[in-house]
Amino acid sequence: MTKYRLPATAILLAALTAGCGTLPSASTAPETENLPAGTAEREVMSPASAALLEQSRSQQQSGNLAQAAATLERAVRIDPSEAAVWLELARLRYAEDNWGQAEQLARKAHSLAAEGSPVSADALTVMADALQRQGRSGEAQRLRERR
Amino acid sequence: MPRKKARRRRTKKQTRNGFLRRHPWWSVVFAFSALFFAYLLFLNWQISNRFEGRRWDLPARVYARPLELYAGLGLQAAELEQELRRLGYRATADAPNKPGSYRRSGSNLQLVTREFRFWDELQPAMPIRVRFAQDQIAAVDVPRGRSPVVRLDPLMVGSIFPQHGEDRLVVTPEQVPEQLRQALIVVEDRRFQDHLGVDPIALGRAVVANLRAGEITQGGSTLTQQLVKNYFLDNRRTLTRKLREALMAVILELHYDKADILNAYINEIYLGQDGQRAVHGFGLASQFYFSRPLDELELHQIALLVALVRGPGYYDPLRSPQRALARRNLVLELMQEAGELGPDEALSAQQQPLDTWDRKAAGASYYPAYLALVREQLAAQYRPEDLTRAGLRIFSALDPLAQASAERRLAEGLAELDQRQPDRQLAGAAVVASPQSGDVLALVGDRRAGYEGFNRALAASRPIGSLIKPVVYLAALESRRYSLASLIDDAEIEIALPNGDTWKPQNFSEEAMGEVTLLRALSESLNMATVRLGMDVGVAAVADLLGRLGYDRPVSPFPSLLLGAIEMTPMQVTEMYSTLANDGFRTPLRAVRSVVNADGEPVQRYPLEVAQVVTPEMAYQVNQGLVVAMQRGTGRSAALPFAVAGKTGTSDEFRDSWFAGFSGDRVAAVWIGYDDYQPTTLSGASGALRIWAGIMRDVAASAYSPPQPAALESRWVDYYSGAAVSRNCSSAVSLALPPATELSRAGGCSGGLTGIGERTLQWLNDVFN
Repeated sequence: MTKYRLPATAILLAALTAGCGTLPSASTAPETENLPAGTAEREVMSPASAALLEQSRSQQQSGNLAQAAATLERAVRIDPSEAAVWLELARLRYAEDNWGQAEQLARKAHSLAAEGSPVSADALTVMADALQRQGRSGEAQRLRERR
Repeated sequence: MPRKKARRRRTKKQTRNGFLRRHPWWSVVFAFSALFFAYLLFLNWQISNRFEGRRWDLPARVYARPLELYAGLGLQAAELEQELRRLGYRATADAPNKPGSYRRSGSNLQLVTREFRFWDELQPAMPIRVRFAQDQIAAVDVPRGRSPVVRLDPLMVGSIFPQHGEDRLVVTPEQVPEQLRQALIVVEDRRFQDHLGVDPIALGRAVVANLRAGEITQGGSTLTQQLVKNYFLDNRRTLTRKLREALMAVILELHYDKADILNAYINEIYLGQDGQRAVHGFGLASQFYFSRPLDELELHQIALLVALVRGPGYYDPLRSPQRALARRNLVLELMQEAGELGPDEALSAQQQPLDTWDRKAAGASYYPAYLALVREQLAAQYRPEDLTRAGLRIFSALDPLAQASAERRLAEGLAELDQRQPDRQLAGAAVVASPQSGDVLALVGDRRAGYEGFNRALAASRPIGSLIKPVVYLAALESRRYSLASLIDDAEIEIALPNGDTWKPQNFSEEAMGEVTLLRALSESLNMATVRLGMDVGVAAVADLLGRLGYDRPVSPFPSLLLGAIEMTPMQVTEMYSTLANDGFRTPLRAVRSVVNADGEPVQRYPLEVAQVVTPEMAYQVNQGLVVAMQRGTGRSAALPFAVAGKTGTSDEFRDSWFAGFSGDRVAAVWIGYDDYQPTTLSGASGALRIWAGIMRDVAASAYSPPQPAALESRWVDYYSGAAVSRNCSSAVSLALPPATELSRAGGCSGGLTGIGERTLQWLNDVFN
């Protein structure tokens, strides 16, 4: 069989395979979706995550960082794929001078955020700042250039 | 000089002896008085110590996770109702207005939450309304200014009580309903307010009654005497013991006032038995029998607890409901006769059912396996006496719903699998966790839930077989010399071992597949291809990666490691797969989230920590292989309606059947085998997989669908040949690969299954698994 990946050829091929579908075990519908679509494209945060994020921010403003962190952990449990929550947790650890965790949590946020989104860019900034604070200026510099 | 002294002494002695010689019986009186006085002092010391010290012995309480209610949560009204029942919430006909009550009407559920001090904040009692639509919560209406994410009070799931098994939940006088005090006085000790520790009238009546009956049938003990008796837990009915109790009761009354004594009684008295755990005090009894705080009890429930005082075993409401009911109604009758209740009030309470909480039916029970993990985690920071005495409150991550599912699926699955070898009994274990938060949600160490014995989830170290394979393939991907589309020869391989032997691994099907893609070799768990790949990448790289993923023991880098000749507990397997499920971020699993002291002040938090140990690109690629394994490889019989990733594991001669895998929000591992290491006839697919799939069906809320890392690009690749093909090719798989990955030029689209031989083989596999 041929290996061209031109769309026209593909359509032609599809028609051909559908036409000569004689093998009993070979399904005529091509097996396409092996991996489900990623969630990174999702734009809207769930209301529950948004509410807890908001709550955590006001706890941070009143100086209660431990409480604010506990609230963010609740948000992680409710929707662990929400990049903005991880980013906020990274910022919180940064505010506590916990550079190591700030860097790691920012990495987690970055891995979940859609490429080019504000959360992704902010996560890179926190990562770079946290690296800088740990004395890893070279790595920090490279990240800043990536922005 | 010595002489003189001796004489003087003799003279003195003669004088004293003179008085006693004239009145010999006085010496006996003196001696007895002195002894008795000393005895009284001793009793005083003993009882005061006990009474003052009673506050010290407060076992740590362990709570489950609180259920969070919020718009968008996949929960049905019936499920919420079940959770509320488990928490002892009362269904009302009118709009609920007291904490701990609810009303369900169609797709609406109104409730008033209980006040609860969490580790981070005090959540006040408040009325909320939960609206449901399409199997999920559509909205949670809360009072103005409150968070729309509401936590229910968490279920108390156990306590860490000392060796002698005494468990209690101390209540303050304000938490004790007045009716409980009245009932105790009416039923147990009518002249409590007037007597001085002993009640001669009641005692006399009891003596008469006992003489008539010819045996001891009635006790005339006051509440104070009963309290003393409970302190020393001596059930012998001897006269000296009775006398000692009476003396101590009088001493207590001289030292303390009635209110103090009654409150001590309420917290001390023995009210039931739960395995090794003795239920003491009305506070814990209220939780134990009704799953409610004492101040929320209704009249008929209070009466039942008072009925139990006479004999918690004899009147056990679960084992002897008739007897318990009769005695409860007698208590109500006595209260009415004494004028504490109106006739209507007494009658309507008598018509109530026993109303005890069926722990099993409510899905809540004793969780010894999970509590063992809690103790293990706390042992590092706390001395045993801190846990059994200081009244700590421990907030665990236990999810009673996930725990109930894991227990049930394991028990049912094993009962079914036992039919293959009916003369033997399989053992099993399961662990469920949340990979991103690190919460251990459920842990089952035995097929008999609630059985306190060998905890296989934490203690059974068994060879993991093919569960190791994702680690081998991940090591290969990290070498950057392979992608999932690369080809590897699945042909016979011989490896010379240091001891001079030759190792010749075989495939499960005992057939060589020839040139295969890494994707297929992983998905179909091909042994010879895996060993060839692992030897090329280096066993040391695989051992190193095991450590990064969270395995914390030393690993000997022998070639047999590549096929899983390494022993792990189900907990360790879950830890390792959790890192894969968390896309290469390691979050150590934990059972305890935080600890607060008896006053509700935070003592310790175990914050969420992450460490990236594998890049998201590498984790994403290997997980693709595990997703494909669930679609067309060894895991396909799971047939779950949402995407998951997972791997089977089978050890030599079918001694161990494993499955480990994850959805978007849950990771779980299941092990099955015989405790004596005999072969089971089960592969990972025919044994553990079924149970794992059942658990996932119950506990997973989201599919495994991580965002594709930007550094990878999607290509259509032939599953068999690894060639670039069109998406219309029926054996095409979409793979995210490093950019500019060179794909095979030969092979092209393989179409359906390649040959008749292979199709037959797959059919045979399906039939026999």
